[in-house]
Amino acid sequence: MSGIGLHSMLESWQLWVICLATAVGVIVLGLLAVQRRNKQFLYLRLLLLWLALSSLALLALQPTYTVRTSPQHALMLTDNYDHRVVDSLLESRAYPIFALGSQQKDAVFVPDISSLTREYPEVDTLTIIGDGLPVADEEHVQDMHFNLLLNPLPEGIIALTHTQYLNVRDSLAVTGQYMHRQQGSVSLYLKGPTGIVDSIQLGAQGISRFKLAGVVDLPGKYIFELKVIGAQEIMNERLPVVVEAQEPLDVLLLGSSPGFETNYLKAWLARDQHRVSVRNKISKGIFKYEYLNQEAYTLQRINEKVLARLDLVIADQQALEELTAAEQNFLRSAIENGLGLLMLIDEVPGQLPAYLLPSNINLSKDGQASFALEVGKQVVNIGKWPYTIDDDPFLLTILEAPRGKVVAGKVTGKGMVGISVIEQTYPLLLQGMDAVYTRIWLSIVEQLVRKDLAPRWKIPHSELPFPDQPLQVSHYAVNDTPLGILQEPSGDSTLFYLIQDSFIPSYWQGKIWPRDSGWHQIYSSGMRNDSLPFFVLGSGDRIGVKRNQKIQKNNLLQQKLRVRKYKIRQKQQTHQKPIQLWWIFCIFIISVGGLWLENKIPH
Amino acid sequence: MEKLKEHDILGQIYRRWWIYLWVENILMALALTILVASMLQFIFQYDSTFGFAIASICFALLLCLTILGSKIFRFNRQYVASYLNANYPEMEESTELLSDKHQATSILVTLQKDRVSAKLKAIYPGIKIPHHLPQIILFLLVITLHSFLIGRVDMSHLQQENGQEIRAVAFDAKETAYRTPTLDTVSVGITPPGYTRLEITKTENLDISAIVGSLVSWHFQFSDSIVTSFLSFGYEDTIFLQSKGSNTYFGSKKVRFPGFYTIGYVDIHGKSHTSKYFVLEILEDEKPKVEIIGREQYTVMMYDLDAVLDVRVEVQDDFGITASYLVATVAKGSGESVKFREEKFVFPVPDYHPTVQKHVKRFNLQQLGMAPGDELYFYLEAFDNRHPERQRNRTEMYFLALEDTAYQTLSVSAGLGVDKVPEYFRSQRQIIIDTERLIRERKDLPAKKFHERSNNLGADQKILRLRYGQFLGEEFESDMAHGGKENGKGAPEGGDAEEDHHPDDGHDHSNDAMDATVGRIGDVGPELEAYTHQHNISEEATFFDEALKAKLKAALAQMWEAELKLRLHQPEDALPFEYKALKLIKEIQQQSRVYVDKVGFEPPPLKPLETRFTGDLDEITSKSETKFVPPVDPYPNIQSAIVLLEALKLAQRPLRVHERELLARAGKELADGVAIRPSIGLQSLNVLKIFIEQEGLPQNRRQGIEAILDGFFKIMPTKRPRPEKLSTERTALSELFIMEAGGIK
Repeated sequence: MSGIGLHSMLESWQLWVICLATAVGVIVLGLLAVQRRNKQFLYLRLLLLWLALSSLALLALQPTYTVRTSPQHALMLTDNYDHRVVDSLLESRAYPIFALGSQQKDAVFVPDISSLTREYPEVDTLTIIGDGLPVADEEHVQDMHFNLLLNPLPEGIIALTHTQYLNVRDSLAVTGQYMHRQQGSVSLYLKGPTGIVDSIQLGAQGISRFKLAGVVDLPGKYIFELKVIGAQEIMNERLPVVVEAQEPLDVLLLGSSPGFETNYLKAWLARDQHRVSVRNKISKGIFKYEYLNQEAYTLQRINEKVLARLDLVIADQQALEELTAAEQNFLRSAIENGLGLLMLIDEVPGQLPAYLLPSNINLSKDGQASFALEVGKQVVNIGKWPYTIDDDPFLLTILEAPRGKVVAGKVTGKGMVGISVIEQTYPLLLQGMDAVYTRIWLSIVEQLVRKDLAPRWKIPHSELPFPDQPLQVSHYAVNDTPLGILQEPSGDSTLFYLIQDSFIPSYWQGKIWPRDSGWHQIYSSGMRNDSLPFFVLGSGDRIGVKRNQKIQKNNLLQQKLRVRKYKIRQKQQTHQKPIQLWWIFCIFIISVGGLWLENKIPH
Repeated sequence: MEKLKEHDILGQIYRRWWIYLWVENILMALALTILVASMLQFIFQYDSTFGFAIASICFALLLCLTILGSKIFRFNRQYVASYLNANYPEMEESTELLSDKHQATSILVTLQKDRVSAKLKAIYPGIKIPHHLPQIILFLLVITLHSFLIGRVDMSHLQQENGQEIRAVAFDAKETAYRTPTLDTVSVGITPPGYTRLEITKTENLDISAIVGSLVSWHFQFSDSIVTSFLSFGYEDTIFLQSKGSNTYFGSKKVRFPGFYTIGYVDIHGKSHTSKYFVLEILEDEKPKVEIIGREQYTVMMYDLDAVLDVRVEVQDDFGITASYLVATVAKGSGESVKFREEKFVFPVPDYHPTVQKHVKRFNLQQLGMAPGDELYFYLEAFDNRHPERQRNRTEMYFLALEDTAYQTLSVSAGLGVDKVPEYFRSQRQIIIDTERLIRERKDLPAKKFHERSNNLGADQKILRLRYGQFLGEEFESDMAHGGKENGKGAPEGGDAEEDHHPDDGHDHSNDAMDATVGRIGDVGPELEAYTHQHNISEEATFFDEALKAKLKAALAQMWEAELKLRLHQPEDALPFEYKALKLIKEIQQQSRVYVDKVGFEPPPLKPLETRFTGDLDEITSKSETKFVPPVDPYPNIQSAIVLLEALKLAQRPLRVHERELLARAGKELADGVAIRPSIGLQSLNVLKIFIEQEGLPQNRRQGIEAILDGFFKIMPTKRPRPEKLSTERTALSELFIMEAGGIK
């Protein structure tokens, strides 16, 4: 101990006040004591008085003393450390041992590296044993020497990704890596609400990649499970999946005359609750309008209002040619804005409608009156006009015959224009080949129909939501300053704010801190329809994945710091250590007690 | 010694007073402690251990306070002396002189001291030390009583409002506690239908598998009295069990349809109890299996006088065969004049109705009257012993054809690729054409060939004549093929015609009722003469009137002449007769036509000149139709329940009211599916029932939900593909890029 200092954060004038008050008190009370008639124990009284007032002042001033230190090499125990490693190190010499973030026997607990450097500045070399440092602590070891004795990759799933957001009939793809160390093989089962949907067996030692798939037919939120079973169940990972329901499509069928093809197509679409509008020409200026699964609306003129509500227009060539100039412009503009169009050519197609020419889809005569289509194990001959669609690097093939394309489309603006040389498809229904009919029209409609934009709210695929962990979210806003709302499983909602990107004004980013595990939802304030559900995993989820990520990051850190160019500054040799206040308080109590007792002693 | 004594008296007074003071303080502290502790206990109602600790702390604190507040620290001998001086004038204000510290300094002090000490001795017994012990003791008793009374106050209603544990006070109950009756013993008896000859089985397994039509009986023994007991089958049928006394109930039902059932009962307090679902599986009585072994379905044989056909048959049934036989049909003739004769060959079946039978039937084709060109059709038919209605099963029809070597078939003509010209009815005109051709080719043909062709033409003419002759009751062609008794004069004798008809020839006229009254064909009774046609007697043939019949006879005569000439190899001479026959036949055809008035819809007369090509569309307007296609969505409640159950997997809370109702509706839909296929979903139905009753299955919740979901998904049909918008990663930014880039040309 070579010096006394003050640890308290008092201002200098406060310091003077305290010292002055103490001095005044000592003087005044001392004089009173001296003037007391009974002079017995006078010096003791004065001593006790001085001790009491001084200790009172010291409680406020918080004195410290200087301690000289020497650099220390310590061991830092992190998660899942191997005690055998520690024991082997301790055999060579005695190290001070610290435990990062958890209480360990014979180790000093430190919550993080910064507190270690603050409380134990003499430590300048650290040997880290276990899984390694958390990401937040990595920056604090920049000025230290350290060695990493990291754990090997743990047994189990060390990497795992899956498609979280699906449409009905989409396939859930689960991919990952498994570290296999034990003898024998392990089996991975993907279990959904319908039971086990896929499985794989891994026998090779080391890291194996796996891929599993499943399908859910119903919209909703599901928790799939990936069970790993060896001699006994090893682990169980939860895979949250959201199967989104799709809105019905709005389809317009334009016919230059009533026909069976239109009739059967409209019935096929309407049975799945899609909204179908039909306009068939009966005579010049006379049409038959049909509205299925929706209320009637004005269809006499094809204008932008009509086209804005549609997802797809299916029309024969003549019907398109007979549109007025204004209607053609509206149609072209709507296609540029995302509408899909399918043109059914006539027997003699001739020239495509001029206003669709920029799509640049050309036909060639091939003389074939039919084409063979494979549907499952069935090969069906379907009649077509004797034409095929010419190849084009920008052409999207929708249906292909052995001799060429029969249905193809091309991107036009945000929408797509498609052309079909198939003559008729409704006879397939009459022949009972519903599956073939569905196959054809499913491909056509899904490729050409208007595309929805991706959800506005987005969570990066690499982010794994955990309770009390930050989660990065992004949002594409259109006009306003968006305000985010996080809804928790309990029903409570929390407002959070976003930061606008400097270069892309419509792109906003923010960070949320979910508190509990379970299904959450984020949406824009005032706009519930853009909500994004997501699942926050629990502390028992992705243990292997998290460990693997931590170990990998620590390895990267070690490599990065190996090449650092600057020199780590020398640790200080001395530091100030505060005097425990308990002692001062005890002195105060004893001195005050003594004063009181002295007064009570009969003289 | 006397000094010691006086000092001792003073000391005694001092010590006694000191003790009183301490006792006062302690008792006061105790009283206050009791007061404070009882108030705290009254308010917070903690347990005794905690209360004792609180009381101890209170006592210590209060004792310190009372001591500090009292004069105990100021109390000393001087105080005692002052008290005596103040309250006992006898002491003459000189009590201090008796203190051991006071040393006598003068005679006067000594004298006074002696005087005072004597007085002190005198008044000592009467000295009253001032204290408040009685009051404090009284205070303590009052406080104690008060605290006791406070502790007796019933705070249970406050505890209930605060949600704390209710302290139940036990008292003697006059009645014994009611136990919910349970099903102690169960016995199920299955009596299969008598014809199955299966034994009655008894089991304790409530999942029943029985033959259709079995009588199932249930015997239940309950642990206590109940009001009623019943069995509910699906959601459609309920039977109430009969009481047999001693808490025993009995019921029975003849089971015909698969499904599931529950056991229910109502206890004496009116509470209803229902069991889980049990399977009722029905095993159908299969139809008998029939098989003809080792024989192709279509066989061609060469005709042989000793030809036989062995047919091996096998019949199997699960419970018993009552009859089996082969039905054979002989078809004779060809073309339009095919006759059928059916015979049944019954296999013997023992009275004990075996379950397996094997037989061999040998058909002697000669005995069946088969000739080349004839065919034999046969099939096996069997009946089982199901009661009340037997089940029948038969095989496919098997064919055996006897090849007719005499039948001439056209050989394949080089270049034509025609393998056979079907036998057809050659018309008179065709005969004329062939005759003329023959005449033309006469020079090029050898004589033998010419004669042969002429003879064939004659035969054709004869066949034609015979066909036309049917209308006049002449003999059939079959008589020609079998060398029938052709007398060359036209109609055969009546007996020949009669031989062609017999009851089993399959002819339309072989009708039992008809035979009863008619007997043989053509032999009609007088009542039916007016309604039947007599085609075997020319004079009674009634197809044509007399004039036409005469003409037809004339035509036939001409055909006779033509045939004669052709057989005499004189086609030139036959030709005129052929022409005459043709002319007569045409006349007959014209005259035999009957014209009737047209009946039916009379369309309005058309006015093509007025409306055709005018292009008038005034009455044609645009038309609009709106239609809503009802969604074909089976099990909508199950779909919603699936979403709910997935959410409940994570939520640890009981079911809400609307959730319970949704699950109940979903359970109804599941039950409808399970009734059809009990093996799928019954377990899930049971678990769902318990799940709803137990407000969400607090134990094994997750496993229960998974079991229910399993049943839901199995019952639901696979969704058919539906066109939808594909997911895309397009954002406003990427769309902006596309627009700025001008799209893809």
